[in-house]
Amino acid sequence: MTLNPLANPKGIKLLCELCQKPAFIQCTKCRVTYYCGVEHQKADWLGIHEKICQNLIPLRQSAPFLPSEEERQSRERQLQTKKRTMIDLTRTTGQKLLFEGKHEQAVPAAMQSLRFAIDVHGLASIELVPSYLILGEASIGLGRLEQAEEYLAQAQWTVLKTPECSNAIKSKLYRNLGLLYAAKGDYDDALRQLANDIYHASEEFGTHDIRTSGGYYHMGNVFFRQGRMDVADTLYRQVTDIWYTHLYNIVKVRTRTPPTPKGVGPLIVEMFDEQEDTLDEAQEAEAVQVLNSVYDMREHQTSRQPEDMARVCHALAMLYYVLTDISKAKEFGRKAVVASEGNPDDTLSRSIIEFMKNCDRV
Amino acid sequence: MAAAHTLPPIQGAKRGGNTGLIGSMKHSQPVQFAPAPPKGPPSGRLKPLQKKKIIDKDPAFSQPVLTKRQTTAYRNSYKHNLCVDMLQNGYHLSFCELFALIRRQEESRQQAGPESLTWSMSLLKDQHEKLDVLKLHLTRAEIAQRKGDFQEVYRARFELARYFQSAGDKWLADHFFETCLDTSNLVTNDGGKMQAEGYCNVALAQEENAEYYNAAEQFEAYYNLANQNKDWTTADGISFYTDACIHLARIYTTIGERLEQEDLDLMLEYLTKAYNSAKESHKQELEGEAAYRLGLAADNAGNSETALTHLNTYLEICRSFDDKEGIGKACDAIAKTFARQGRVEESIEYLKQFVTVAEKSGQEHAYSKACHNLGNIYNTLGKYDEATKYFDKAYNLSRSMGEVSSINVNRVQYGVAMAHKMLSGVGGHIVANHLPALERLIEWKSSRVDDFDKPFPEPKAETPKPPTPEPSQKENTNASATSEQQEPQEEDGEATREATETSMADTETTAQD
Repeated sequence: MTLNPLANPKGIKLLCELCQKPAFIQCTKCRVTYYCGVEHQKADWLGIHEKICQNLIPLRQSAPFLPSEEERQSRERQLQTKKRTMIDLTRTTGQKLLFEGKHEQAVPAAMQSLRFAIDVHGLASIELVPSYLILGEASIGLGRLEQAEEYLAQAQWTVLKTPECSNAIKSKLYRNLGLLYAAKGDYDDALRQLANDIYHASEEFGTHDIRTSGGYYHMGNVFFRQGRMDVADTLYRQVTDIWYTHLYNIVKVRTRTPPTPKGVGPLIVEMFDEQEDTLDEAQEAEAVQVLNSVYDMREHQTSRQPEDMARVCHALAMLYYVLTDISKAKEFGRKAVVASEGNPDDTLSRSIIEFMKNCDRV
Repeated sequence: MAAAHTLPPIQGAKRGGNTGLIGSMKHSQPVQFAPAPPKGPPSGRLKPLQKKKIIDKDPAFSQPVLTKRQTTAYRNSYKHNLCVDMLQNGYHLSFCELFALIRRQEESRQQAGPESLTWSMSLLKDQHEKLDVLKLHLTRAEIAQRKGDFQEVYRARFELARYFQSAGDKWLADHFFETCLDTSNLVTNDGGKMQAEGYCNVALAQEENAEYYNAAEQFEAYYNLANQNKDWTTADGISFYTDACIHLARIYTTIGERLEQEDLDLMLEYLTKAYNSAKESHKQELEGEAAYRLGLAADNAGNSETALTHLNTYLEICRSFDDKEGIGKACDAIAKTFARQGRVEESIEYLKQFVTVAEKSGQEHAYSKACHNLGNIYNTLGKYDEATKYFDKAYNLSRSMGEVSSINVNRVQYGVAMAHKMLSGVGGHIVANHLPALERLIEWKSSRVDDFDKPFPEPKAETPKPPTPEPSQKENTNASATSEQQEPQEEDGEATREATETSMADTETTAQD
């Protein structure tokens, strides 16, 4: 629906949702969102607006006349809770888009989450940091390093001013800073930041957790780019081992479930699923990305050890098994069998063969 | 997609949240690609620049500008900086190990609770010097590990273990000894020498922790390795093989002795093992001691034949070394075994040997003990003259040594023997039932002089000698209760007869009565 800025009521300026320029069109579904043109409307729609269109209506309408103080307060409270849910919703959407590699689309979602967070928590709150981090990561992904630095510096400042800030947030912040410096080619600083990331993640989750492994992986990448292959090699090995153990446990739990008749089956499987270690969406995406890139690296490596290769292949096979992509799982399983041939470590090859049998059964 | 290249500034967003987008907005604002965060704290980039200007102008602020590293070093804990330092240089395995160690200590401390001893001990993470040493050697080990030089890894870890051993951190030393063993399994080009060392070190650590069975297992592994390569020698010049044997003998002995109360058979088994190991070590002293222990144990278990053979080997070894004390001990033990078997003559023979050896070597304690034992045997045999002789010696010896308990024991025994000796005479006189005998009894009662052996003045009074041995033998065989009743009197008589004895002894005896 088109608008003419000159036709707006006096003192009211309608601005584009994305670029804050005078708006010329309006979203016809919610009628509270304005854009400067079709392009921005489309970008916003793909990024976040599709999901929050209807939720925006009560938040942006002007307050109705409420005669009593209680009513006004209860409306205020309702708005607050709604905004909080909006923060969560926009943030997870942004995160997911980032892991899928869609940095462009993640920006509107992150901006929305930041707006709501500022609205609810104020400017200097630690709650803003995750939004800044998403924005920063998206900017790094888009190659806008200056901008990323702005966001991350803001996040860092907030973290520094909040001593009781959790290690998980710190770890994320330092990981993003490390990525930023790595992208700028400042490897020493990048290593320093990633080291901080690993330290904080270890404090929170332990040294051998999949949430810590990201730090090792990025560090390995930096060493790889620096040409220090021996260090990078051990780091990649550590990353592979962490994922391997984690996936192995998941697969072990799943294959242990006895095959049950179809009528009762799904229920029981669900019950088991609740107990085992699981991967959430973001972790799945991370696993796919990390393991595949390690696999590529190993494939191009001239002097690789067969055990490393076998381990990566086995981990990938298990990952695809967990993601119920059986054909890919079998493919990597076969590669693992080939790689483990002539390898003295019997337990590894035995577990691979056992796993292949399980695959065939499905 | 290109639309999102222009990100909105956050200023608009802040007001837009509440009232829609209707708010004051500067239309003329140039497009911002990098939206600065609205108000609040400056964005970290601008402030340092302003400060720098001040620093340049004002000499009062002309302090050196801190780097980021220096500020973090000030801001974070020592452990944090150390870990970050290690990680930054790519030593992530060292980091993992250090981190795990620190966490393990914290957890064990938590488990022990605030009332335990460990609670007040300073934690590893607060001991900067130790952390530095850990970092130094762990990173050294990691570099070597990357190169595949496991000997160097072993050396680094071993050094750490030694350091913590000397610093008194037992658990850390144990940890590094264990990792030493793990590393040594990877060292292939020295035929297992390092592995053997590793086993030995772990076993020693376990022995200290009182995990004797595990330690024995490790020592056995050590022994097996050393057995295959007898040319290995330690820094002190002892061969690994001998060393292993010595350790094995010791650990088996310890296990055996701990088993003593519970299971005699198992104890014998372990002591036999210890003996065999000691024999293999070709260390005569060790072999002898093991044989002695085994002999005693076998004797306890009632297996006197094996006990005798082992004790005899001990005796021979002691003779070859001219170890007087050892010979004495051996003779004593052999005599006891014989006595238990009922072979009294052999027993007496060995005890006499014991006495002569002890007398020659001047070991008063052993001498007194030997005399005491010999006296005991003669006493049971009914040879009271010898018994009194030896008890007398034992009594005098223990008095000269001034040991109250042994003085008392010997005094009582001496008295008992004397009483037995005199009993036949007294009994004879009572049974004789004529005047001179009665007179002599009364005389004895008043003066306590032992004249019973003297012949009576009248020859006819000598009649009732034959029946006298009977009551005396009865006295010998049944309990010493009756003899004890007589003992103080005899003691008194003894004291008066030996007037040359020191007055102190006299007062003591009267005090006891």
